[in-house]
Amino acid sequence: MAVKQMRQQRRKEFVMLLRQPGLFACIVVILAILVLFCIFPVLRLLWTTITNQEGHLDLSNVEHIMNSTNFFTSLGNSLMLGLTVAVISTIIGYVFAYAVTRTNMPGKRFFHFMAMLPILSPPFVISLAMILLFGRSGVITKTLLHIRNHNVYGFGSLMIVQTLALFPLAYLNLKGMLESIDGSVEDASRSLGASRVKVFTSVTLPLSIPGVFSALLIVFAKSISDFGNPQVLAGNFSVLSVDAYMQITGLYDLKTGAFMALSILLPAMLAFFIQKYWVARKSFVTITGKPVGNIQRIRDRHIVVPLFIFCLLITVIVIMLYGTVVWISLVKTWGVDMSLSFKNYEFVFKRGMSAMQDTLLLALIATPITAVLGLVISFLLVRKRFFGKKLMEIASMIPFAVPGIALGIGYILSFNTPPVLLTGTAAIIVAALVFRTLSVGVEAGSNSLRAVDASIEEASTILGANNLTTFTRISLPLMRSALFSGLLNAFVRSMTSVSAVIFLVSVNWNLLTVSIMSEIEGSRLGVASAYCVVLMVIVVIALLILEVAVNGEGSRRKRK
Amino acid sequence: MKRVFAILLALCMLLSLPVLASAEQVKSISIYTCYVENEALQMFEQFTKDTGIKVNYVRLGAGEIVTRLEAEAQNPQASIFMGGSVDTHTSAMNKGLLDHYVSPKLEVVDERWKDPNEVWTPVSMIVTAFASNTDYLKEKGIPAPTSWAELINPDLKGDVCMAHPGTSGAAYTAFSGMLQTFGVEEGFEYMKKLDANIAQYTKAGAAPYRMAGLGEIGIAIGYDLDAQATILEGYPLVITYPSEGTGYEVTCVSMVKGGPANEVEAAHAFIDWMLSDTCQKMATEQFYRYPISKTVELNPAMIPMDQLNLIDYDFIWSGDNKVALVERFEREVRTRDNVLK
Repeated sequence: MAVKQMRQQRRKEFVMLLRQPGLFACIVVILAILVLFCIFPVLRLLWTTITNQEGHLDLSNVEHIMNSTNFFTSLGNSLMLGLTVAVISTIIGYVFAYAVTRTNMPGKRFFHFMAMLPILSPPFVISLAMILLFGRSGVITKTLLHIRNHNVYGFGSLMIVQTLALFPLAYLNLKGMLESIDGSVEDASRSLGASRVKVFTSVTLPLSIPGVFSALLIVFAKSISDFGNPQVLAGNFSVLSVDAYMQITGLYDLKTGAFMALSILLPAMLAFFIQKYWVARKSFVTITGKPVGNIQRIRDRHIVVPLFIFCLLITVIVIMLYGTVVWISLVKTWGVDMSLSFKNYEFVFKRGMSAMQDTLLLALIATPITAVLGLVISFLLVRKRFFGKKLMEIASMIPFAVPGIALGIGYILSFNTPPVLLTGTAAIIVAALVFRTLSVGVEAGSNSLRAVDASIEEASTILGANNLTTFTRISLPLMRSALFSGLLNAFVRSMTSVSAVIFLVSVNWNLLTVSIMSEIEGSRLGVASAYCVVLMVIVVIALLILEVAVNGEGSRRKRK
Repeated sequence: MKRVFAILLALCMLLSLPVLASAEQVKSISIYTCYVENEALQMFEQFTKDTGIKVNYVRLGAGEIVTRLEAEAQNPQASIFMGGSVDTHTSAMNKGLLDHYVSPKLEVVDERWKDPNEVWTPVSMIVTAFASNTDYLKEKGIPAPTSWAELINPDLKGDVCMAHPGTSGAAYTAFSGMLQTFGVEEGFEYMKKLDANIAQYTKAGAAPYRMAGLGEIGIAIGYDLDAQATILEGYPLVITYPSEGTGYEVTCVSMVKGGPANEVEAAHAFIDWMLSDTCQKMATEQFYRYPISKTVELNPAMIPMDQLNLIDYDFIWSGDNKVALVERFEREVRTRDNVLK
């Protein structure tokens, strides 16, 4: 009986969908794109790992891996690192987001900017700064504190660096979430006599649960698939992404290595389903279209001061690490000849120009595509019911959770021969950049949409607007913060991703991060740092333009 | 809101124009190289000056290049695989990724360095070396180590560094050379003792020298030319060679099988050029390579090979056993203490 009802329900939905050909076409096209660029390459790679030369099923590789103890040690290490980093990053991100959105803490704009700084550069640069500051000959450990033989390599440092590199993701996500919670709910609770603590624990926190979970998920997935930082800083602490990389490029064993890399998908997917299960059961609607007053910002000193100190502390660490990168780029030879010089920048502007142009161009193409696609997908996922919804949800997550090297190789295997021949072109890099960051935009968009009552959009539809108008005039403006973080993230990730594109850069299209990696391998830290600084400056300029364009536009509209 | 989108959209359409209209007219070749960026750039500039052929390149690690060639095998994107040791080229050849080419310029090369299969072309030689930080040596009050035996002194715990023999050609040459000097069983026993002193196995072969230069560690193991490059950057290192026997590698360049058809001629010209006096001289004088050509003199700042205790490095054995040796290294050496402390 129940089955029959469900079937009828399904059919009704399908018929409804067919009556909206625009929407229907949109869903079909997006599904097709996602299957082609997110699922197919990964499946193609998986197929390669479990077949032999003749194309028959051959599980000897899998057996080989399962029998090696290293695999499980590394898997355990990766999971532990991922969980720790996810929890700490989310806490830091939450504190920052809360302080920025809910209090009248001084210097909010500054803290907002500083919280985003760490995503503005390729992650392994922070690792390098960490070694130069806290390593054996570190400026702080040796010169200032006179600690001898301080071992910077291993779990602890790795955790710190990953946390610093990834908490901005949590911050952006949670900030969008907190902004989209209608403040009047909190004010009402306060007027009814609840203490600040009570308001936080029983109103703000529960309402921001979707954001917390998606922050945890994003950071966890990013941490376990990260390759750049562990490769520089892990020491004897082995993690799966590095092991997979070694297996592929060191032992020329594509099959075993790719399988190891793909196995990282499992825990990430598990986390993904847990998150969906939790979040889907509850309603988090607070923006209902009914008139709201202005939110009351917290002024109490005993709340603001500790928050301020906490944010300041994190900011100081961030500034210290980035300051070091700038410093390295400005001295002749770090540790030997510390006199100031611009020779690194001369080299960068002489040799690195074409890579710089390529990087900027590809990022500029990838950014709007990623952001818009992310928002459209989140809109469909949260607001519409259609077949293949689960597929869409999972597909948009996969390229994010899989280690970059697996995605890169999957892309080569899939798009190196007709019908879809993309290797050597800019399109394959753009595609990798778009789909690798897509999920962040989807998450941010979904979170802010969940806080908006669907009846506002329904009202618009009832008043005669079509799907497109409703989306652009109602939903999109309400998702402004998500759009901003989507655009920003897409741009930054496009400018700074390494492991996914290292196999996709071609003789015609090279990227700055690959040059940075080369220079680090060639031990020219000054040049590598100068590249990073240039990269960061470009990203910061883009960030400021975005702020003005997206947020400025919005506040002007509000004033009207 | 709308305006922002319109601008963004217009911008990305405008920017994609040159992407669509990039038809190459000039004669050019595509190269995957694992030479250090700086060296590769200067070599290519000279080549273009000499021949008028434009070089487009991607710099990757040697292992990354093999992986890429393998993934692209259905439709190769590059004509030349430049750099990397004999064993790297041998394994790429065994995977059917490389093509035959016998350069007419090969006469300048000694018979013993030529590829019996006529696939790869040897272009230079590099020797395994230690490099020690001079400040570190002063502090410890020890001379620069001149033997493998000195490196397992328990006093040096955590002060020695080499790359992972799986990911770095430099580290594999050192590792394989050491095994060939001591014998495999004894070599592994040695390696376990050395492991106690190793701070970290890095990914890239040059990284240990950077760490030694910065004082992160005391002594680094790798290729002499990377150590020289680090010294040229200004770092206080002193180079020594293991007296029990020093391994070495022959750097190769090969044609990629099925690479772009319109580049074949230019690619052959490039391989020939790499054996020319201009290139060989440049390689030794600026980048401290041992020239493979008999007609070019060694950089006077380098120690002649006959003064080093070079072993009779067995490339075939080294290449054939790479996977087995590295797996054994992973199992018996690296992962012994590879648990969270």
